[in-house]
Amino acid sequence: MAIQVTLDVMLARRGMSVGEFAEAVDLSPANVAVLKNGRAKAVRFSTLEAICRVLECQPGDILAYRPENAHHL
Amino acid sequence: MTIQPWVVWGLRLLLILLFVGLAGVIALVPDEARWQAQAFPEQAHWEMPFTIIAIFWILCLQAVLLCTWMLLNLVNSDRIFTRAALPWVNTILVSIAVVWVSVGGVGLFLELDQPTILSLYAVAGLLVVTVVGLLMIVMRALLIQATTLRAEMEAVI
Repeated sequence: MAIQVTLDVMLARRGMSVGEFAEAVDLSPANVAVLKNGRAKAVRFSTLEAICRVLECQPGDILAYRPENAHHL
Repeated sequence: MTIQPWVVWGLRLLLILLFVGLAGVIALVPDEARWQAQAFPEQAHWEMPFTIIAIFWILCLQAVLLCTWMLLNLVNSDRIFTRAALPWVNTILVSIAVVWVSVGGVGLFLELDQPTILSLYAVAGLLVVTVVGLLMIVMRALLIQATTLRAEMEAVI
């Protein structure tokens, strides 16, 4: 996926554990792991909203675009 | 929208009744064929083929009922929109296809043997089986579409 969820960085900045974060955004730990490992294919706006509220950040702070072509070159 | 439990249980009960009823009909077919052969001696040579084909059609119908039962189980466990449903739908389609071919064949043989009202019945039967078969093909395509959509939705976090 060219779109990456950079959750680890924001979690580290806020000093929040994955367990605390999962509970605060009302996601299952398994789904948080999917997000963190970059295996998520789609995210609901409501999930994004919860993440931004909990981490007090903007969507741009946790989403990054890295063209996949770069890997092939 | 959730399916009311009484719909599933009612359907299950009726499927069992139909299945048992058809098994009873199978037992009656040889006697009926013998009676027909005695009543219409000019068509007596059809006794054995009629018995075999009638029992075969009933068995196909029972196979469809069985597959419907299995699909109903999948509906009940919320797994209808998974790959597990496809083999049962395919079996229903194969049963319908086999019946379609055999009804057509029987109609043709009857027409060649002795043109009677029976070949008209065969044409009507063929029409009904065709409609049911085409409807099943549409439903199968819809099932596959819904399965894909369900899988996609489950990937959304």
